[in-house]
Amino acid sequence: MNANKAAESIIERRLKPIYDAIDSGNNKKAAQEADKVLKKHAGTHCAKALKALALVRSERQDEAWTLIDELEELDIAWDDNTLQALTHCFKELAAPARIAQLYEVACKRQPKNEQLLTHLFMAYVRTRDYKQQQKTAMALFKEFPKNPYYFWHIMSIVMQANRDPKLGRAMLLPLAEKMVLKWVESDSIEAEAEVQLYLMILDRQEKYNESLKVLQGPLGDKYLATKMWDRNYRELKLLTNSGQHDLVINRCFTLLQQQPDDWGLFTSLYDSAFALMAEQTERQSELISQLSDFVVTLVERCERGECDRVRGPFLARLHLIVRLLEKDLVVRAQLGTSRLGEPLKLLTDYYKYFGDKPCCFADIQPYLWLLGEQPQGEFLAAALSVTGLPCRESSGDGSIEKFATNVEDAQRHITCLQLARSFGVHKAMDAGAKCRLARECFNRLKKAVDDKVEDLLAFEQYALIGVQLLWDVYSEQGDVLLLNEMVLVGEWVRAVSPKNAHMRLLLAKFYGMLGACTLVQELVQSLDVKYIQRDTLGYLLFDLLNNFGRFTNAVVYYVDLCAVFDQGEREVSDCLTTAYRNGAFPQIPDLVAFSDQSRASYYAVGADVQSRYLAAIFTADSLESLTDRLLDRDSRGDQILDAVDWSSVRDNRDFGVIPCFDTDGFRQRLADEAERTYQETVDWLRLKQLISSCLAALCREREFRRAVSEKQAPADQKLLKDADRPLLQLRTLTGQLKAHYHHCRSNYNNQSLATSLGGPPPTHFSVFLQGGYMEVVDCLFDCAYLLARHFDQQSTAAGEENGAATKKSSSAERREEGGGGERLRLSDSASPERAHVLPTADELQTLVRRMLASHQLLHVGTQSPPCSSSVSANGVASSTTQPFPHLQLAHCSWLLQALSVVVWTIRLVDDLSPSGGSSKKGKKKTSGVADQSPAVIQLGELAQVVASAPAAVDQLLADLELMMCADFESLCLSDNAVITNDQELSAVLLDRRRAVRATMHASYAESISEMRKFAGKLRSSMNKWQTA
Amino acid sequence: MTLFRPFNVFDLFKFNNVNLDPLTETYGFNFYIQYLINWPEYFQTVESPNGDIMGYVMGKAEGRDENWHGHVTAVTVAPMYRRLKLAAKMMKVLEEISESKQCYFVDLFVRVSNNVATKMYNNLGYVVYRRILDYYSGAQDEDAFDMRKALSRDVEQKSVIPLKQPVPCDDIDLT
Repeated sequence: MNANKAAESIIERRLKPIYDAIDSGNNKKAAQEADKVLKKHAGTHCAKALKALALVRSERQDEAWTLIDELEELDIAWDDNTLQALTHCFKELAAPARIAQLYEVACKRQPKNEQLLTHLFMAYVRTRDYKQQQKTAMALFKEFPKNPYYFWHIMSIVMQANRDPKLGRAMLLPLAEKMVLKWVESDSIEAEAEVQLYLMILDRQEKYNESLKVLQGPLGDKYLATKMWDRNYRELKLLTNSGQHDLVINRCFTLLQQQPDDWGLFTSLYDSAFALMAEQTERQSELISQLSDFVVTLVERCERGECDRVRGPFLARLHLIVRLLEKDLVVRAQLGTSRLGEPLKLLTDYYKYFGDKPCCFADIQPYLWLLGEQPQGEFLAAALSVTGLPCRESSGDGSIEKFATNVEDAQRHITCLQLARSFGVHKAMDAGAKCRLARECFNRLKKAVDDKVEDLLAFEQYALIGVQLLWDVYSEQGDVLLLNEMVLVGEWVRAVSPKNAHMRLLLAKFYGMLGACTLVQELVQSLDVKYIQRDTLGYLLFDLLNNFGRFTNAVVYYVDLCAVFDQGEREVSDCLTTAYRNGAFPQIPDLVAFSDQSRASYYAVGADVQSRYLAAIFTADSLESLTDRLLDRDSRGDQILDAVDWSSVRDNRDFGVIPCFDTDGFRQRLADEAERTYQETVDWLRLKQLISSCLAALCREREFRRAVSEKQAPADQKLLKDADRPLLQLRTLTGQLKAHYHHCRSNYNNQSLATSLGGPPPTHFSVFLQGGYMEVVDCLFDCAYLLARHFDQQSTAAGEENGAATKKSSSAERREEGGGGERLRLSDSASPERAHVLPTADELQTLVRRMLASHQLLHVGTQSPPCSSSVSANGVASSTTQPFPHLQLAHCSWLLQALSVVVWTIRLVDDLSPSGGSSKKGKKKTSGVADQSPAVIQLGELAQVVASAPAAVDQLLADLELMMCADFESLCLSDNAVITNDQELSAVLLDRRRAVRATMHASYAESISEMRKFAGKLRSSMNKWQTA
Repeated sequence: MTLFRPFNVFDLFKFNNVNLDPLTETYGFNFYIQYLINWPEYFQTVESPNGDIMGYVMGKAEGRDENWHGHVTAVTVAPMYRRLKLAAKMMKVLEEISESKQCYFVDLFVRVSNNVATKMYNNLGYVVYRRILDYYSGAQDEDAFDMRKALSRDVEQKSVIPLKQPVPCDDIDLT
């Protein structure tokens, strides 16, 4: 024993420097220290595991995996420290299933070790393997009969019932209940957690009476009485659910006397009362008058000042009216004479009492429909008479006669403006009037700023309404200049009111719509967007960097975003294990659902797709590194790669930040927009994923061929005919790509303007789809398949016939005169039904030219939606509206992406050709015939067409650069609606213009220089084929 | 009109209207969930009838013996739901829970520059117990006031006798 302890402490001393280095975050040093230990004492396995951890933390996953593999091959019993170190490795490598495997092995060796079994249970918690959880908890309980293990077992059953509700109801939940009951009956319950779990099981079976009995019985008293602050609510809910409505009503009456602002109590009261009215129709009138009396008495007490004047009773009265109307229990016309009162008067009173609260509008919005059209005007007039301020623009020169002098008056006026908007007053105004009213709103904020009002919270809302009005005009006309003016207003508000988050959020959206990436990144940083907000507010940045040519930044952003989601999942899993340890059972089902929803975010999936796609096409510098990135060799966790279940992805974006004051179908419009942009992004991601997969298939084909040719064994030749060949996958994938592209083209043929101010920014997907980029990519993939197939059959034939009879091979190739030049016809035994005619260089040239020129067809406005597929003969559009400069930048970015894909495709196919590839160099000399073949010649011609394209993009970018330097202001920042020369306000805004112009220019310039760099890279990559 | 309900982990998906406020910190999942698991009663959302999150309060009970106290980790209200005395209501709920747990006092930390909040806490009966140097890190470090309010168990109100000297951040025992 003593010897053991001594040995342990020696090892501990040895490992200490490694632990210290890891704890202080110095991973490099940790790895070095581990090496030192291992050099002297090779058998110190924990040092190796710790080294692996240090490597994981220094982003050297590959090396870490090698070490882990070495350790696992040893197949011995690990000490705790090694197990812990390996657990950390697997957690951070996003491979939780391996933790379970690790402890399964350990538990097999020591089946009665409590600690190991507990770790195994927790490992299954991480992988959500409820059946195994149940088994392990039972094993634990059998050896160590402690309550927590018993209840882990029960909770694992409840989670299985969650996953399979049908089986849950029929079998699992009754079983769980029986198990708890056994403990209750034997008086073995020990903790609050156990009672909470009991309640959960009963609630899930809708056994509300039983639940209530537990809550109110000795178990509840003993374990829950002081711990459940929401006991009242829970009891009320159970009482309602179990049909004890009279009890609920009486209790609510009592409780509401003390807490008249409590919406939860009113909800319970109404739910029970209306349920009772449905059950016992004879009691309807009695109950209605009881409810009316109660709520009106409460209101009167508030009005008389006998209690705090809280909003509850006033809103509860309106809510009661709505619920009665819904059930036809009152007649609208008779409300005036009823105890409840006429809605017009009730709403006017509400405004009188609470119009100075920022939430007044949100409070009464659900009840405004009660007014009917005529009284809307009366209501507004009454409200306005309180403030004495107008809700429409002043006619004439825009001078404002009267300002709100204090915060309360300003808020009352703002409530009026919000009401007016919801009644459609703004909708009825023409663009000029909207701009004038917007100007007035800005002037009201300016006055408050000039007067040095301390609390600007109310006045800032003037700016929001003003921007909303400008946005209205923008969304009708699509005038980019207006967007620029909103930017100026936003920058001004940001300067006078730096804490205002709404305006910064909008500014980020506007800058994003204008493609000014750097400024969006700054704003997102200033808003301190992090953790879950990277998902819910992800729309500010997600598409931006890659659409506007910041490829390097984009890769960093996506990789980082992946890490955010991984980290989130790890944290939730850690918390889940804590929840079991602490018996926080009620939280567990929610936590699991939350983690599922978070992981399924389309941004989580999308970040993987995008980073793979961009890293492959832009950061690879050889076919080997391209292959590594596409096949994602770095990680071994559950990989999405080619198989993403797009039907299960979720949209977690939050558009609830910017308030909107439109009543008319606003929420539906916002929901539609969210849905549309979501679908567009998902479909775009799928395109990119399919492109990556096609390239990956070519990479795999190349590897496959290498493996075969290196072995040169006749048996391997059989593999070439295998149906799982990467080449055949390529054929399937190109088919899917075509079909998906076709689907996109027919679904998104119109660039619709964003209509909700606080809604998602446009994706530009339809603009992309019109640009001809995919036609070029698709054409090259087809060529790639046909050529690769052809080369393949050639070499098979050559192999079979010992390289002597290439010309006689089954893959006959024949050049024939076609319309636009020589065509090459290849046979393909695998798909005889498909056309095997390679496009000619001229045809490819036409596609490339069309793609290069497509930006001339871009429009921003709705009046002339972007072209249909019919491109005019000379490829030049007639319109003069140039979407300068942001969509031009996007166009260049898409060009570079498409070109990059085709450049890699050409290089891969060339490598597959008999003349290509370094490893075949020796062969090349002996079979000189092959590189003369028509197919190789044709490939060379196509490559030349592609090789000349990057120079054209570079020229485009150079022109853009020149244009911006020459006349940036008139291109994107000229005067329009708000900025007129006779206003003080204009002076304030114009003040900002120089700075805004400079920063936007700088942001664009950065995009351009980045893209020129990549254009240059593409050019040099195609040097071999570059024509003079 | 407000609904007090337990904070729900799904609230994290839609609390931006509250959390974009520059004085409201957004934390990692772990932070919120630890509170949910360990002190669910101290973590409450205030919801408006239209479903908006109006604000939330998170806190915990910690310490030993006479230092057993309720701690307010965050109390925050969305701009649209300000000026309804919601923060005061949430503080009251938290104090009641701390009373039921027989805590001696409730404490909280606030930026010394946050006059509005300090004033509000004063009105609610909180006093500055001590000043903590450089408690808030960031572009510019800032001191915090540790403010306290004695609960009924602290009959002699010993917990709120102010310390005269400011305390360096490293010296405070946060548990």
